[in-house]
Amino acid sequence: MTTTENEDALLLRDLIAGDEWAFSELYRRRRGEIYRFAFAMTRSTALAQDVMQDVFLRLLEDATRFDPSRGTVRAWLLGCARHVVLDRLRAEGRWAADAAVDDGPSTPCPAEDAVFTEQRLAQLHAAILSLPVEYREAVALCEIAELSYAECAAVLGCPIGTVRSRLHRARALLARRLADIDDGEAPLRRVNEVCG
Amino acid sequence: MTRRPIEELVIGYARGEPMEVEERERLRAECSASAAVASDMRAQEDLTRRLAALRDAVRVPKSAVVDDERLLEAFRAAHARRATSRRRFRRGVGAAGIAASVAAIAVVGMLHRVDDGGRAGAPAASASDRAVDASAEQGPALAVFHALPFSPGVSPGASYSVVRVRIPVSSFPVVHAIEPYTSVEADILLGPDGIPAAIRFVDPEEVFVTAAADSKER
Repeated sequence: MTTTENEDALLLRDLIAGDEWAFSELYRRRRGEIYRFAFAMTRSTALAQDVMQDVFLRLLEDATRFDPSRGTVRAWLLGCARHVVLDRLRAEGRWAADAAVDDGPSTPCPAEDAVFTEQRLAQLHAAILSLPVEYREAVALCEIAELSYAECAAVLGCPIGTVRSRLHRARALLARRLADIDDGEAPLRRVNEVCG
Repeated sequence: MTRRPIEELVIGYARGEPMEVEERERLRAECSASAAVASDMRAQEDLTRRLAALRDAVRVPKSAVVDDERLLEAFRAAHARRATSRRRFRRGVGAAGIAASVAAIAVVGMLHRVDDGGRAGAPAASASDRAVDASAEQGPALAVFHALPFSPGVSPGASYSVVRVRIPVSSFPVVHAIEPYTSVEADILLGPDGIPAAIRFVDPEEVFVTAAADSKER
């Protein structure tokens, strides 16, 4: 266990004992990756924020259920986030990839470079959302939340080899999809098209 | 060492994963020899850059910070709830101890009644005579609850909790148990105030023999 993981475990122990600072500190440390994971899975800021809050509300109730022999606190929190995300996607009928995205280009109208960068990121994100959900999870956990294969395996409850093969297939699909886009299947819109 | 497929090496390299020198050399050779592998490598490296840019672009919005205080309030409330339930539990365990002692008296009372069963002119029902029908809650195999002496009784509609205790038979001064019982299991019904109100024995009541009955048999 690394120092950070050890610190997480200590924070969890202290928050169970009622230490408010420990709770704030764990929240401050881990909310970013939970938000990033949820956003990568849904591309909705509102939903990602809800997931982040839900995970920490669940933590208040279930902190004592954490079992260090089954993984790190970080993996456990992301495992909770995964369940919340999947529940929400099911409930909202957004299980399959869709184009229901609530994040348009930022206003006021940005410079052309920024628009292109934003569009390229949007294309990548759309490509991630078009992946089957198990591949999407692997990308969101390993690439966006930056979990190791072992941590990701703990979150998904599957062997490391499965995580590796899912991620590799996902990356191969993403690379092909982005190559299609770059070859002109979905050309980038210019600033005046975006901003009207 | 197992020879990994070249696609795996390409992705591993593009992700910056640690790689054996031998594998790195093999990858380099494949990239030089095959335009397709070299193209895959470029695509994967580009994908890694784009994923990093996406990761960096995703930030927790400032509006989420407003909810931090709400979370802290939830934390305080949850902790207060846990503390209350821990206190209740401790009180319950303490009460169960008291209940075990009271149970000894109850058992004696019950068995004396069994001894005097057929006698006419039995005294008016005492608190311990009032059996509390808990059949809705328990399985058919379990006995009914007996109200404990000096307890305020069981009021319908009030909320009770059940604590299972194991009572050593040695704690019953005038009661013996038949072999091989050295202790008996009982459920204590705790009132909303944590005070034991009634008891039922999980082990059959026939395991008890009063000292009087015992000496009579001898």
